[in-house]
Amino acid sequence: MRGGPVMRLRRRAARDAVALRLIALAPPMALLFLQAPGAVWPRALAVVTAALACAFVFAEIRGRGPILEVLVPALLVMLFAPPEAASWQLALALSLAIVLGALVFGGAGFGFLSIAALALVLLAFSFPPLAPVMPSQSVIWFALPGGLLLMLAGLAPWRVVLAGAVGVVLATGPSELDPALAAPFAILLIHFAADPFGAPVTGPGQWLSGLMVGGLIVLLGAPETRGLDMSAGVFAVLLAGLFAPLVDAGVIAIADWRDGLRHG
Amino acid sequence: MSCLEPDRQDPFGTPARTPRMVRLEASDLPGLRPVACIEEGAEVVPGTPVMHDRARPEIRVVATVAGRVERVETGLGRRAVRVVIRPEGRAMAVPATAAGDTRDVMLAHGIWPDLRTRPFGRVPDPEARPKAILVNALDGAGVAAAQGAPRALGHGLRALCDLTEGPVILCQHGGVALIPAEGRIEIDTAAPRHDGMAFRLRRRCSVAHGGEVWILDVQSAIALGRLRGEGLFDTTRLVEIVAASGEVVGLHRMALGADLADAIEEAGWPRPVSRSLRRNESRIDPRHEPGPPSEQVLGPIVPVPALTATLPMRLRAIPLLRALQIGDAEAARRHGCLDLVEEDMRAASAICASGANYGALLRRVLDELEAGG
Repeated sequence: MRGGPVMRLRRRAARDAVALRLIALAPPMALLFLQAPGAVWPRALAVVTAALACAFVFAEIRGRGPILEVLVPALLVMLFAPPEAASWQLALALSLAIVLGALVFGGAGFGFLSIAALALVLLAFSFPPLAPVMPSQSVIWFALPGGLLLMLAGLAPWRVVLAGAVGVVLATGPSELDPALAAPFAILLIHFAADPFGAPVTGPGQWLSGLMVGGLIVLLGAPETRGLDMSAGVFAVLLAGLFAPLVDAGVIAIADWRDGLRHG
Repeated sequence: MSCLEPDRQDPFGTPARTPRMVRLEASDLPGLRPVACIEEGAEVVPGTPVMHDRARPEIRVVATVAGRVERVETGLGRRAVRVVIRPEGRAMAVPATAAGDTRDVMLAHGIWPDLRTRPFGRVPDPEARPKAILVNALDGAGVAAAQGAPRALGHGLRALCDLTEGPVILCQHGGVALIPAEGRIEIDTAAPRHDGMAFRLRRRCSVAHGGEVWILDVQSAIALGRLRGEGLFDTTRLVEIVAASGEVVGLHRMALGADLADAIEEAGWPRPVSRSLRRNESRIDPRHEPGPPSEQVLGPIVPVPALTATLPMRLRAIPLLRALQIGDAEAARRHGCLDLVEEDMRAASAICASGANYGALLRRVLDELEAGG
């Protein structure tokens, strides 16, 4: 194939989506393991086993795979779950999210929600004190190169990320902004709001969805929370995800209406 | 003097090769019901009719080489499948009379079936008048042929103006115009990275909201020009042979329908392929050869920008691909599928992770829309 390495990456992105998304999450996961190996191993074993088991059962029933896509939400749940959550609680929330958010629709990629955001919301709903949290600053910094890789490959729509940032700025007010929150916001927007299967697919729809996520993060955030309220973040992503198909349908309907006017 | 005469050194390589066999396929005539009009064992010369459409006999396929008809293969209801000719000697341009208007000349010399309509990609009705004609000079072989015969190309494009009230647009990838624009002949030299005839059609004269546009390969326009300008009937085309690596390894002049086995073997394809040069083909690429039909269940579409870029701008790519996957013809029409034909979907099929053959899915939808009027 012709073109530079970025062009080749973008052409291969659809077929290598799972590998690229796992590669993007590998550095922060590695750091997490290094920081607290004793606490992380049991949780990793629980969430990965639960995710693969769900995917395997549905793949057997339907006679179709692949099943490795579910590892992406599994790793995201490990990164953003509260440290006090038990392994079985994470496994339960993730299993429910994978089944309800993806497998009942035909598998990962056929649903319309970010499975990781759904899992964290289900965790917060099912076990109220367990709200999702941002990982440590060092883990966030380790996640940034992967986020950049996803944006370069086109697996995280840049319009959603940019519009999300604009939405946060507009909702907060430029004077209230804390520059230290830029990296956590970026990670939230790239890995959750710009989920390739959860975000709208039309250009205007992606702008609208990003603005909605950014605005809702600020609107839903608890005033007493210092830094980024991750609960508000995942709820905002989930809400915007629910509206994504409607936003796309609206954009297409308006375009059809304009075409109709132009061509009689 | 024609560049096809055996001993002439033309600017784009050796004279036409002598093929082992020439196979004229009925499947090259989409939308027609061809029947054979020649018998096995008959002697033919370039221009002898061998097949014609059952409903409109004036649309005919002619022999592209001198030789003997070895086999006439037919299917259900005497429908022709292919006519196989064993050539006697090299393919070359022969003197011919080009009396009558452009339509008559194209029909009489078997150039008419090279035309394709958008929408639906059919051989057009001779009574119809398109709103424009687009001439495809996007491939390397077509450009080489046009550079070698600019006067014939000019004659051909002027002749095509008789078929339409609208423009005749020569589409090329950047660079110096192959011929100067004049009258209703326009030159589209846009040079975007991902481009094909669907992009030009969408930009210049989309048929998504009605109307019909015809597409013709530049080498067919040159053949028409040679008939009108030089009185020579040329049945050969330049064709690029691509290796498995994607590199062009050969540029050959061949008669339409010529067996490509030798050229493919020279190009070092990993597996031998038995095929002939089809109409409007100027690039033989192993990556585009149809594989066995797959029964695999389709995976999800990963909506990445590279996938969107395979289809023309302002065409809602991901919603269209989803509509094609589920066979929703009405949604596909609203998303602009009428501007497309099978070959426009090759890049999308190659990039998309779903494993879908979007060319076949598009054909199913186009057939449904055509049947529904």
